[in-house]
Amino acid sequence: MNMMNDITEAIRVKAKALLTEKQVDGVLGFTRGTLPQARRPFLAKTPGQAERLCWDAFCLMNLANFLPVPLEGRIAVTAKGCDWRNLVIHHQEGRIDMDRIMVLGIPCTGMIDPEKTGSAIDHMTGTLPGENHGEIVSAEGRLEVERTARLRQACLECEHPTPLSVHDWILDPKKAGASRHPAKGVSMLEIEGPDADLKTPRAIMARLQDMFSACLMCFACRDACPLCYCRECFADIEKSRWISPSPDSGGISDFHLIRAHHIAGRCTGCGACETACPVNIPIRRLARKLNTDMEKATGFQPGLDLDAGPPVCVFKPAFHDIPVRR
Amino acid sequence: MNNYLLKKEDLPAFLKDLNLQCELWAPYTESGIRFFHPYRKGEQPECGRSTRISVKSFFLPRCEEMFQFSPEPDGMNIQANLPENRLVLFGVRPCDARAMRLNARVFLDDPATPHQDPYFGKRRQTTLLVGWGCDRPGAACFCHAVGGSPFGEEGLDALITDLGDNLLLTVGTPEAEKRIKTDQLRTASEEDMAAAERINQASRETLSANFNPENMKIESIVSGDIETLFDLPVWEETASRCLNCGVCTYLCPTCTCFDVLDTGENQSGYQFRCWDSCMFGLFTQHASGHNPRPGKPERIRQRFMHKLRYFPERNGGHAGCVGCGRCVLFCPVNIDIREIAESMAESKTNR
Repeated sequence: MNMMNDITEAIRVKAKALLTEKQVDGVLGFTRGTLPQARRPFLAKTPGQAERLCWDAFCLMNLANFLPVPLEGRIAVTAKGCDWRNLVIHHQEGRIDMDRIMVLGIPCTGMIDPEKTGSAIDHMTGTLPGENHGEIVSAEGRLEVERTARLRQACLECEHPTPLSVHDWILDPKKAGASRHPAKGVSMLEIEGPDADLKTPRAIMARLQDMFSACLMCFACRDACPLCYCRECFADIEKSRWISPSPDSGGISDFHLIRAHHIAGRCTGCGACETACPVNIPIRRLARKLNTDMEKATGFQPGLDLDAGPPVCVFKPAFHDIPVRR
Repeated sequence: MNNYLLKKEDLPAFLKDLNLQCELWAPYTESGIRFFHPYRKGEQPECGRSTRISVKSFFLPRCEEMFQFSPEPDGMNIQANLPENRLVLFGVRPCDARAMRLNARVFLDDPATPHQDPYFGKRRQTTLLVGWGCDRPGAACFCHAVGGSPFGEEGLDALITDLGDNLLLTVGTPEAEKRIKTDQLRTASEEDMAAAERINQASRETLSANFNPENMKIESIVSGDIETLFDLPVWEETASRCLNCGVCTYLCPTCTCFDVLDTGENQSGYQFRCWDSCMFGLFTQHASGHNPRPGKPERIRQRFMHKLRYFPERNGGHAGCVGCGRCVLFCPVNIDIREIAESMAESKTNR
C-alpha cells in the first residue's frame, strides 16, 4: 500500500473527528490544486472540507506562513518538521500562542522539486508519488522518479524532518521511514562556488551579486517565508527608499543581504523561499551560512525549543566568542 | 503571405545568416531554466517551449533608463535614450507574440490618449519576431480559451511549423520578407501545408482536452454586473493563501505596469522605469498614507478585474491574457486565473 495515500487518509479521518467534536476551529494542511503537481495550503473549517485535505511529495509551502490572521480559536496544523520549527519560532517571538495550535505531526520524507522533473514540468498530466520512488506522468511519457534525485535541496539538507514535540501523530515516526539528512555546514566557499577566488570581500561581494543577478525583485522569497512577517518590510519603505530598483544601485543584492541578516539565527532552511523563486536563485544558502556561524558561536539551533529565545534577543557571557569585526 | 520550406538540417546556417544581419536571440536552457539568450553558434535553440520570462522583457525591460538630465544656464538639458539596436527574436511562442500585440494597444494605440510610448514603439519597430508554432502545449496552457491559437500569427513577422524533417516558414510581413533571406528556399507545396494543418489541429485538440474553453467566458464577465463582481467571495477566499508576491505579474507577458523614478546628484542624473506590480501595497500607496487597495483581497480583485473585465471592455472584447500559463505554473500557492474566470463568469448566470 502506498504510504502517501495512507497519510492522506489518516489526515482526513483525524481532521474530520477534530472538527466534528469541535476540538479545533480549523485544520490547516494542503489540498490538491489545478495542476498535477500543484498543492495549495488549505484551512478546512468543516468536517466536509476535511475530505479535501491531502498529503504527498508536492506539499511544498511552509504552513506556518498560512495561519489565519488574527489567530482566533484553536487550529490544528498537519506539520512536517519545518512547519513545526517555524511554529515554534513564532511562539518564541511572541507572534502566536502555541496553546492555540494543535500539532499533528508527520514524519517527512522530503518534497520533490518540480524543477528537477526537467521538461516534464510543463507537461505533467499526473503524479504517482510513492514512498521512495514514484512516477510522473507527462505528455512526454512516464518519468520514473527516484525520490532522492528529485528532492528539493532544502529537503536533502534537512536535519529535522520530523517534529520533536506534537499533540498527536498522523503517522507514528517509528513506522515511517523518515530519513535524517545530516546537514553540512555551509562555508562561504560553498556559497561562492569552489573555483572562485574568495579571499577578498570584494570578490565575495561580486560573486553574491552574480548569484542574485537573475532576481526580478518579485519578493516571492520574502512573501513565502514564514519568518518575514514584519508589518512593513524595509524593502517597502518608500520615504527613505532603502532598496532602490535603479539598474546600477546594487539594490537587488542589498535586499537579499539585508533579508539574510534579518533571518540569521532564525531560518530553519525550510526552502519555501527557493520554491517560490521563479528564477531558481539559491536564496537559502546565504541564511544557512549565517546560521552555521551563529550555531558555532552560540550552540543555538532555531525552532527546536519553545522556551529558548532567539539568539539575537538573549545574551549569555559565553557568547563573547562571537567574531565581531572591530 | 508566403510559405517556404526549410530543411531542418539547414536551420543552423539559416540562423547564422540571420545573426549576420542583426542581433539574434533564441531560447536556450541554462541552470535548468529556459531564457532568451544571444545566438549561440553550434547550439540548437529550444524552440516550441515556453521561456520562463516572456519576450515582454525585450519591449519593456525590467529596468530601463529613459533619459538623462543635467542643469544648463537656461534650464535643463534632457537627453533621451532610445534603443537603437535591431533585434531578431527567434522561436517566440505565438501566445507571447500575441501578448505584444495586446501590449501595443496600451503603449501605442490607446484611444484615450494620442500619446505613444516612444521606448516601446521604437522596440516594436526594430524587433523582428520569428515564431515557432506550439505543437506541444503544456498542462497549464489555455491560449485557445482567450482568443489565441497554438499556431496563431498575430504579432509575429514569421512563423515556423515543425514538420519533422522540414520546417515550414510562413513569412507574414514585408519587414520579414526584407530581412529573412528566402531566395534559396523552395516554396511550400500543398502537401506541406496540409501536414502543417494536421499538426495545428492535433495541438488544438490537446489544448481542448486539457482545458475546456467553454469554462472561461470572457463575454459573460464583461457583461456581468460590476458590483456583483466586486463583491464575489472568491477574492477573500483567494486572499487566504495569496502571498501578494510579484511572480504572476512579472512572468505575465501582458502585465505592463511600471514605476518611474529619478536618481542622481547635484541636479544631474537620469530617469528610469522598472516593472511594478498591482500585488504590492506600495503600488497604490498615496503620499497621504491612505491606500485605496489596503489588503490582499482588493489587490487580487484588481489584477483579475483588469485582465478579464476592464481590459476587454476597452479593447474590443480581448482579454488582457493570452493563456501562456506562466502564472498558473509558477504561482507558489496555485492561484489559477482559469478558476477565477469561471467564478466571475458564473456570477452573471446566478443573477
